[in-house]
Amino acid sequence: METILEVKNLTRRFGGVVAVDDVSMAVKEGEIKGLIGPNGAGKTTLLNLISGVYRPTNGRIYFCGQDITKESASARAGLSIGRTFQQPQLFGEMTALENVALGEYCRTRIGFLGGGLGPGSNFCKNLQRLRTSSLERMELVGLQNISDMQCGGLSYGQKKILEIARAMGCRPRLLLLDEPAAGLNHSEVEEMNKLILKIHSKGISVLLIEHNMRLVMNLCHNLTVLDFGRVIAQGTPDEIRPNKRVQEAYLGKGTRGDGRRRDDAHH
Amino acid sequence: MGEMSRKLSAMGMVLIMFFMFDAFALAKKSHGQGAKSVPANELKIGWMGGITGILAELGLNVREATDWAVEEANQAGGINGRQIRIVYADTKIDPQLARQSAERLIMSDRVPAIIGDYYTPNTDAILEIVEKAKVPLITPGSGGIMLTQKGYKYIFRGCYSSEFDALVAGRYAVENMKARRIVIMGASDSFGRSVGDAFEKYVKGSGKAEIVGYDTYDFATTKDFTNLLLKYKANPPDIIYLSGAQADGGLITKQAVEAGIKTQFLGNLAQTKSAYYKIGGKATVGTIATTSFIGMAENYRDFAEPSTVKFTEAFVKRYQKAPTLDHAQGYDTTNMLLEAFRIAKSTDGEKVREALLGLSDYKSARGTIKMLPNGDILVKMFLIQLMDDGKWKVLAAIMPKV
Amino acid sequence: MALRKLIHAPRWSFIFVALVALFPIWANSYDRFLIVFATNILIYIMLGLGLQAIFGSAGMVELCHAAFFGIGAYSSALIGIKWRLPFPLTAVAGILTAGLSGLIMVPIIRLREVYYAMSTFAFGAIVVVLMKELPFTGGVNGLGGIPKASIAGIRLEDPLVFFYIVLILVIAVYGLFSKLSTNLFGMSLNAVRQNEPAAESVGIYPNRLRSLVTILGAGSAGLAGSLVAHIQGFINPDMFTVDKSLFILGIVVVGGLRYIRGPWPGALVMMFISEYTRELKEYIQLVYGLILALSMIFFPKGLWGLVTLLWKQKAIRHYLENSETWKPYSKSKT
Repeated sequence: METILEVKNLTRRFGGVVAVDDVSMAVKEGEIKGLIGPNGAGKTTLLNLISGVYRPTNGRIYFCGQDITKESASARAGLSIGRTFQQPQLFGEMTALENVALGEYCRTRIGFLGGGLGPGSNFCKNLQRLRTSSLERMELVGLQNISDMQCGGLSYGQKKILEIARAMGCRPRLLLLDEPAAGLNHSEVEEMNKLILKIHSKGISVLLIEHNMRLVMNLCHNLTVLDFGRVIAQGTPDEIRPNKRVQEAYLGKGTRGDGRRRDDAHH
Repeated sequence: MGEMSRKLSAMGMVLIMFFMFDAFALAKKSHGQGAKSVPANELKIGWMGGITGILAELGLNVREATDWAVEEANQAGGINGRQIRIVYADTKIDPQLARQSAERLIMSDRVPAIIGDYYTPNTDAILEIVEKAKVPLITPGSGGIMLTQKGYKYIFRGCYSSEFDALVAGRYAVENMKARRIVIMGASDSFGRSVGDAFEKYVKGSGKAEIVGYDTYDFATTKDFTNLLLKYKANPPDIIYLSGAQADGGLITKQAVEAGIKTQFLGNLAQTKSAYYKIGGKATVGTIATTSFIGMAENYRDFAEPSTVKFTEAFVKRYQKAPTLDHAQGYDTTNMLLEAFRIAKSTDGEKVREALLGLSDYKSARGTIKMLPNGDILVKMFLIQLMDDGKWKVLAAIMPKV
Repeated sequence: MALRKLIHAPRWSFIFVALVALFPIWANSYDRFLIVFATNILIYIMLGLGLQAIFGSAGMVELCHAAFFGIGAYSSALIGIKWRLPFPLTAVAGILTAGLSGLIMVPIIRLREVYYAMSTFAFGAIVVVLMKELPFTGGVNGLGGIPKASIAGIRLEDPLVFFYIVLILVIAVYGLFSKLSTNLFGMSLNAVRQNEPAAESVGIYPNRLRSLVTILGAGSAGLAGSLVAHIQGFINPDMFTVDKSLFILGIVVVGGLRYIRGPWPGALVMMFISEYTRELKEYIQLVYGLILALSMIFFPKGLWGLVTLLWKQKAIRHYLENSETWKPYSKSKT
């Protein structure tokens, strides 16, 4: 399998705080990779670095072999990297369908001023196509019935799924999901599980941050574990499960709670 | 929505617009404000000026004076048997608004004459309109020199041209005060610049004194002049000529004295306003200013003509406060126009114009006025000095050479 | 309004259009001032349209619209005076220079809202200073003697003719912005305003869009400027101060910030208030304050939002009455 995403020695500082510290990891094409670790470990920051929201202080990012470190977030979408956010970031004043339709922005052939100005223009031809493909995506995620609803009126679970439908718009080869199961109830988590598998079955690689361990162990082929911005373990779920260091990170042995670096001395 | 319905709804909007228009216009007519035919017993006169905005105080003073003059005239029987009614328009300091107001006064209200605007750019903007409509325009405060130099025949001044401020001050500075080194500090707006430039031109032309510096500033935003003033601390000039329009003069004077600069302050009419002493405080005592109205000075009776005394006493009795230059100019402007109507015995533009040109020995609140062929007036100017208690004292009178 | 019926009955629409086209001619004979007034309102509508796209759709607090207005007016005037070019060409010059100055704003566009707002304010102030100080701009007294607009060498003097020229141009500008607000450009601009990180995540380039809309808005203000210059024959820096920018802002807010049709009722209301309340003297400020306060209640829907609200009421009633024949064309049906 080819490596679709690779980060090398990625570091991100915010003033004096090192949020991501010399992280190197890779996602293989066609795999579902989990990014786990305790709260504040730097997982979302790492995702933001990959999707382009932050620029790294150090290190490089490669996508399909190309160095994309210098590319802006908007450009990365064009390179077929889709993402969702920890809290669903929808376009509040638009309908569900419009949100999903905008997901295809980078693939829409629009003229200089967004689709031309005349009645028979590019945009109107696009409009039909956009509508069809957007509805298709909504069907994929199971939300086709609420396409005309204002997205403010959707439930939290629906919003999360909608965001995924939108992220699918750029026909991503890699999908970055930030805590897809957070805030969902048990049956919704099941639905999310099925959805991610469905997406994966289309050949899309997934990198997901999650706290729900059952979901993680079920879905992920490989895991990277972060703590304090550093990689503390990599491997398959079976390898990671018994790892003492990982357990400590989650259960909080040592002086983790006061914000200072925990020293490695073991008591 | 389809294209067609979108276009139609756009047009629908336009139609709604004009229906609303119509409704308003009709409502206006039913209240008797607009008139295609002026009631025979009423003489409408237009009045334009900014009564809100940054020059509001000036505008309100002029308006107060206009109202008084009209009231007096109406009590005496009106003009040619008709009662006078003033139609007001607030133009702020926006020439676009001034044009709109002028158009409205002329086209909608059909006024035969307009008093206004006191802000020179506004007046400048409407010269063309009044000329075309043959409606005499007489301004109570626009001093901009170019207004009467453009060859328009229907512009008249009830105030003196800014040039006079500068010429008189210049002559006094050079001849009477024997100053040799002078600094000009002026506001960068139309008024400040025209006076400042005229002063510079006179002094340089006289060959007897040197302009050591000419600083301009934005009067609306500048409150701190120390960095401008400190240039002169080491070698202070004999005179600093203040060519502003507002409180800036007071601030400059105060800050100069605080900075320890020893000099004589000479100012234009703006410095005769109460704001100057209020803001400048003790520092302003001793400042000399030019003006055509001395009714607010302590010893004005020594210099004033009878008509000035009459005006001042009546004003104080009526309004319980001292009249200002704006009041005097507003009063005079209004009365000059009314007199022109009386002489012409008609409201025809050309006849009124001739009547105005004919005013040569007119006794007004400021003294004797003569109308010049280009629309300017000739009036005696005075130099006054600010005394300890904030009151003015008249020093001398000068008749400008034209 | 039976708009839908009109689509199916073309004959009606011709009468409709004829009414609209001929109304001003009648109004002109009724009271000539109305035409001058209407022309001014149209100018402000054009200014409001540009600012609505920048502020209402893109969400940028731009406080210098009068500066673009002025740049267009001055460049158009200077070219008209110095090189004696006819109006259409000077108008193009006005649009281009104003649009280019919008380009100057590009680095400012990246800044966060407060800094952007302050920078536009500063820009506006600088432009006014330049108008007063540059040697060729006529200084504080402005520029006079601008040749009136002319077609084929014939000078136009009649206010009615000016009115129609401005009307046609305003409709054209409106058409442009209206189309832009409903196609993908407008959608993505709104997306940037509503949620910038989300917009980036789907490949939208926020700053490119904002720059483009600024240039368009500035250019339309420039067109308004050149129209004013050639109709009045006289321009002056006092016409383009921050007061004017705030007035235009008021038009957009009162009319309905989020609607491209907002400036129509917005300009109408603001202008009517300023002109027909002159008897109130100083109290006009109170009225303005009241209006702005009221429009805050309706914010950001504004007057046009009120219109859409009323329209929806009828639609719902109609739907309830004839559910078989009704085909809803609006997006949300509850």
